[in-house]
Amino acid sequence: MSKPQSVERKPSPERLAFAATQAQPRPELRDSEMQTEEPAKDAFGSIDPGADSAWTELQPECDLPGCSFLLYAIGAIVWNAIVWGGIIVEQIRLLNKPANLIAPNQPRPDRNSYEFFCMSFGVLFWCFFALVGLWLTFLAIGYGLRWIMLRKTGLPKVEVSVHRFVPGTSFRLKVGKIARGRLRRLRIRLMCREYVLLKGIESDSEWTEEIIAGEFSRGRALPVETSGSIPQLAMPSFSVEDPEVGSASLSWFLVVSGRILGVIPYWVKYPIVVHPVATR
Amino acid sequence: MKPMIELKLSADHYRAGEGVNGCFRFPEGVPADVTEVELSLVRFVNRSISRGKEGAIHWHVPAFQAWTADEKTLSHMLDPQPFSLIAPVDSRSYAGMLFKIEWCVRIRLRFGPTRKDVVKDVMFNIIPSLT
Repeated sequence: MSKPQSVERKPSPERLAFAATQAQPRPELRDSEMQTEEPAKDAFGSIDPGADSAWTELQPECDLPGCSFLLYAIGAIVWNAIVWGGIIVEQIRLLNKPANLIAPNQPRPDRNSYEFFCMSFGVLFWCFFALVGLWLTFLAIGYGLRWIMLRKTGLPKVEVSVHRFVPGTSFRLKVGKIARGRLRRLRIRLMCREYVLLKGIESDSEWTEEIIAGEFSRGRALPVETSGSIPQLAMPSFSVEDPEVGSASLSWFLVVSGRILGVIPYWVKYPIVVHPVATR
Repeated sequence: MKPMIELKLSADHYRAGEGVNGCFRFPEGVPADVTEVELSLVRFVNRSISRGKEGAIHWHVPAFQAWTADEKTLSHMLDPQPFSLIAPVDSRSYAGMLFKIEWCVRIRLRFGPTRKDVVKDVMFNIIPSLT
């Protein structure tokens, strides 16, 4: 006997997805990182900006090494306090002598004994957490140094001769001087970054991969004027997000990097948006 | 028994903004209790298998077409039924280090009083339009 007509007519997932697509206006990737298209003023020092060409200034990525420094510093302090506190408490508990954290007079256990195994396991266990603490400390120091360095040296002004990037675009690029110090081993590269975030039940997993798509200048001194292009078959900037599953994105940026005083690594990223060819 | 579906595309590569052409048919005839035949252009964003496990991140349907019993369009279906779905102008396939963008034409046949589904996908690539 066939079921009555009251069976629920659930729309197919494709129909629902298409309806959602139609309902929402397509988000347009905007060149929000770029400033207005006014011609560059004479603020570029020795480089002639050109009489009739309009230059667009790129804004550096909001990297905020100061925030990273504070986060890692707090993390390192808390982590190390917990780990070393745990080690001390463990020693006190084992020795039951708060005054002597190291047991100089205790006989060494036999290598094959269960006690030796437990002791070794305990040492390895705490070593792992102590190493994580050390790693956090190094990161905090690294970000702190970068923060101080960027505040001292300032960021170079980067301008491009186009207002809209699409695959195949050729452009001229001007990179100004930094406020203090001299940047050696200069490299100006075009990079794309893939990012994937998968949301899990207990924790999220994320991956980042950066790929060099072109190098426009190497070894010269700032200020630099050079030319470059977006590869013809490059994937345009792309971003999707599913609130329940995760997100994937591909972003482009120019990287100015080098070494201050020939030693300290220096790099600044300038995001750009690469649009699909057909939407130009 | 599930009805059989044949779905063919005119090519395995298309340019963005072009029509994705093909045809479909039911070799054993359209089942009598079919309520809907749905054809859609689907874009999948999947995690690349090269780095860890593969997993779907997002899917999107930019083009959709349906023949339904309610709208009496099922009876107008040809054998084979040609179709042309327009791929968005900014669409393209991509195989990156961490994720890939894949495209397929999907046909979904809904039949029976409980609306059982049979789905068939045919994958294809979208290559970028050049200047």
